[in-house]
Amino acid sequence: MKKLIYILAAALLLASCGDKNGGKNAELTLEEKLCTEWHSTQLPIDADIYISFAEDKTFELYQQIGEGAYRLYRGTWNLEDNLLTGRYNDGEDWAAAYTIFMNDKSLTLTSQNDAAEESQYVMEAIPEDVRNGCETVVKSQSTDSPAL
Amino acid sequence: MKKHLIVLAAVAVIGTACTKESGIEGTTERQTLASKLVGGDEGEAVPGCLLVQLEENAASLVREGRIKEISEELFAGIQAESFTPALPVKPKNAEIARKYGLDRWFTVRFDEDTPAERVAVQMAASPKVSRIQYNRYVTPIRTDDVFPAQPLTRMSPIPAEDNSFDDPYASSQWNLCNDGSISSEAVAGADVGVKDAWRLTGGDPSVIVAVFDCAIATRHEDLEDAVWQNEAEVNGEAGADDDGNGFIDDKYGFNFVGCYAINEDYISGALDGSKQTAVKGDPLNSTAGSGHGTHVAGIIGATNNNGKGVSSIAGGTGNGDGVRLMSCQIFKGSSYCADAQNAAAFIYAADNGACIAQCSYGNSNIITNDDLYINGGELNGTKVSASTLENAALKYFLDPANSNHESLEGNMAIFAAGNHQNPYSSYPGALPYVISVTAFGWDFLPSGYTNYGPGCKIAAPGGEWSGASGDYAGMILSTGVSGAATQSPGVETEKGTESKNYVYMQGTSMACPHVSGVVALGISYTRKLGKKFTREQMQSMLLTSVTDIEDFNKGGSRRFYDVNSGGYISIDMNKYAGNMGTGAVDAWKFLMAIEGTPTFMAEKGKTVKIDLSGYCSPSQEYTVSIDDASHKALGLSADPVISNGHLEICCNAIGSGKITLSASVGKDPDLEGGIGGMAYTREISIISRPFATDNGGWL
Repeated sequence: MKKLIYILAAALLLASCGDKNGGKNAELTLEEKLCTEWHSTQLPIDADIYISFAEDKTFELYQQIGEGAYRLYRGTWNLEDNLLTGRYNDGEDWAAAYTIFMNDKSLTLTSQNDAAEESQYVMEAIPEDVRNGCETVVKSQSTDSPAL
Repeated sequence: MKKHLIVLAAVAVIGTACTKESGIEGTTERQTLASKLVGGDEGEAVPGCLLVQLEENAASLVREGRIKEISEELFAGIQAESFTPALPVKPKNAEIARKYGLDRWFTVRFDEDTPAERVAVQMAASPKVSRIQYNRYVTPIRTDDVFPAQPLTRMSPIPAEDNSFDDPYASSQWNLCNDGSISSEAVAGADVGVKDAWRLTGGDPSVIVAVFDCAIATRHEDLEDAVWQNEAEVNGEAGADDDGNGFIDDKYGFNFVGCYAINEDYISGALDGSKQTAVKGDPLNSTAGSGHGTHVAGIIGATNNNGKGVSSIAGGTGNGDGVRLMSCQIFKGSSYCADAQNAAAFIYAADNGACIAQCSYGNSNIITNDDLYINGGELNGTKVSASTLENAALKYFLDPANSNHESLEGNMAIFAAGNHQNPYSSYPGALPYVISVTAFGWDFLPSGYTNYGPGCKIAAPGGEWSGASGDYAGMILSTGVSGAATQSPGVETEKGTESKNYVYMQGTSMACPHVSGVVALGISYTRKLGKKFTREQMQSMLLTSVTDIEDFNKGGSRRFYDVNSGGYISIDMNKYAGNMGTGAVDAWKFLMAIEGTPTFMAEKGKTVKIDLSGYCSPSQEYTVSIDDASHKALGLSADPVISNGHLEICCNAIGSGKITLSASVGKDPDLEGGIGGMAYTREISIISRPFATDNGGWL
C-alpha cells in the first residue's frame, strides 16, 4: 500500500514538473505560454540565442553571434493579435515585429517584413555559464514600461 | 653541479700582463675594439669581469674542453683567472640558444685592479672574439625608497558586500575594484576591471609567472600556496641538484644576485664558479630585501578567498586554482645582479616553465632607440651601456620553441615603464616585442612619477599618493615583508595597532604586475576554453582590451611630487595625451577578446556606425583593411572607415566578412629611427542582414 502511494506521488510530481505552468498548459493563453526561457534551434545566421520572456513584460536576450561571447540585451515586449513587438531598454525598437507560432514546447518567430525571416526555438533554461559569462550591452531599467 | 656550469677551463696565467698604464696603445687597437666592443661605461660594470662572445669555431673548442688550443691567442697579454660559459644553457635547448648566439658568450675574470677596457682591447685583437660587453649592473626601478609610506589612518571605503572574496584587506584595493567611494577624488572604474572577470576564471596553476625582482617571501601567509615549487628540489636532498637543471636547491626559483656574494646566506654560486659553487641554505625563504618583489608577487597571485590578507588578480577562487609565482631574484636590497646573471635568469625562467616574465625594472637612462639599448653608445654626452646579452636572453625566453604553456605559443614579458617622469619608456620595456606599462592613480590620471611616451604600450593602476590627495590609500596595497621601508596599514586590535605584512607601495613597478596578472588570467581562460594563441595575438588582444583614458590625459595641470628635484611641482597634463599607451588595461574586456572575434550585424543598404569602444581604444588611430572575399560578400561600394571611435560601413549584399583594424602604440613620431613601437591588430566580423537594429540586438 505504502509502495502504491509512493508511485502515485511520484507520478503527480512528474506530471507537475512536465511543464513550467503546472500541467495547465492547454488552458494557458499564448501570452502565458510565451513566458518562459527559449533557446534557438534554427536561425538564418551563425548564432546562438537564449530569450527569457517574463510575465511583467520584460525580456532578457542572450545572443552569441559568430564566435564571440554572449551579449545581454534587456527590454520590454508586447503581444497583440499574435504579433510580438518589443523595445530595448536603450529606447531602440526591435528591428521587426514577429508573428508567433507555438507548438507544444517550440516557438517559431517570423519577421513581418519583406524578408519574412523565420527563427525557431525550444523551451530550455538559460545555462548559468551563459548568464555568468555574458557582456551586458543593454541594461535593466528601473522604470520598465511595456512596449507600445 | 653540472659540468657545463663549472669552469670549463681554469685558465691560469696565460700570456703576459700589460705593463703599461693605459694598455691601449694605438689607433689600430682602438678601431678593433670599437668594432667588437659593444658600447658602454666601464664604471657601470662589474670590475674584473668582461662578457666575451667567441666565433663559432672557437666557442666549439671551448665547449669541448679544448680551450688550451686557442688560449694562447685568446688571452695574449691578459692574466685571466677564469673563463666560463656566461649562461646556463641546457644541452636540450642548445639549438635555440645557438639561434641567439647565447652559447658563444663567456665570462672572463681577471684581477679587479686591471682596467676592463685594457683587457677588452687585448681580447678584441683576437679574430676568435666577435663581441665584448661590459658586465653592467641591472638597475631596478626604485619605488620604496622614493615614496616611503606612512601608517594608514582610514580603511574599508568599499562596502563589504561588493567584495567577491573574503580577503580582509580587499576593501582597500581600489586597484582591483574601484566604485569611486574610496575618496572624493576617485573615479569609479579606475581599476583593472577584474571583478567581473573572476566569474569566468580566477587563474590556473599551470600558468607560471616568473617574478624578476627581489625575492618573493615564500613563507608569507598569503603567498605560500601561490609560490611555484620545484617538486624535485623540495622533496630532494639539500645541497644537491636533484632535478639536474644546473641549480642547487632551487625550490621556488633562484637567487641570481651572486656575481659577487652579498652575504654568505644569500649566495648564488652556480653561475660564478670561481667564487662559489653551491647555494648555502634556502635562499628565498628568509628576508626578501625591501619587499618589492613580494609586493609585486602579491598583486599578481596572492591567494584569493583564503580569509587572509589581500586579493589578487590571478590568485584563484580559494580552491588552489591560482597561478604560480616563480622567484627569479635579480635584486637584493641595494645590490643588483649584472647583465650575465640577469640573462641567466631569463634562461632559467624559460627552461623551468614560466610563460610570463614579470619585470619591474628598467634602465634609468633615456634611451631613444633599440640599437642604443642593444649595442650601447652615447646620447647627449651620456654613455649608455650595451645590453646585448640581456636582449638575446630575453628573445630566448620569448621564442615559440620555448613555449611553456599549452595555450600560448611563445612566452610574454611585461616591463615597468619607469618612474623618472621621462618622456620615454625605460628599456627593455620599450622594445617592440615586450609590453611596457605606465601608471595611473585612482582617478585615472597619470601618476606623477610615471614615464610616458614612445615605448609605452598600456596603462595600469600604479597608485598616486603625492598628488592632490596625499592619501596613502591611493597607493597599491599588497603583500610585504617585515622591516621593509614601507609600513603596513596597521590593524587596530586589543593590543593596539598591529603591523601586518601588507604594505602600500606605488610606482610603475606596481602597475606592471597588474598587466602580468591580467595576462596570467587571460592565459588561464584561454586554457579553459581549449584555445591557443600566439604571443603576438595575445599582445594584440591585450592592447585592444582597454578603457580609453585620453580625456584624463589632457587639460589643466596637477601638483605632483618630483622625483628629480625632491619637491612638489605642477605638471601640465597635456603632455600625457596619446602617451600612456593604448589605454587602461581591462581584464574583463581581455577575457571577452579571448572568447572570440566580436560580430556585429548591419542592415543591408544602410550606412551603420558600429561603436568600437568595447573592442579597442577609440582615441587610437587605426588602418582599416578588408580582404577581397569579405568585400564582395558584404557588397561594399566603399571601404569602411573609422570616425570618432565608430566603424562606418554600408553593406549592399546579404553576407558576412571580416575587417582588420591595425595600429601601432609607443612609436616615436618625432625621431626618425627612434623607438618603433608595437604593432597590433583587432579583427571584427560583420554580418549583413535584411534588417537589423543599431544596437546589434538580435530581435
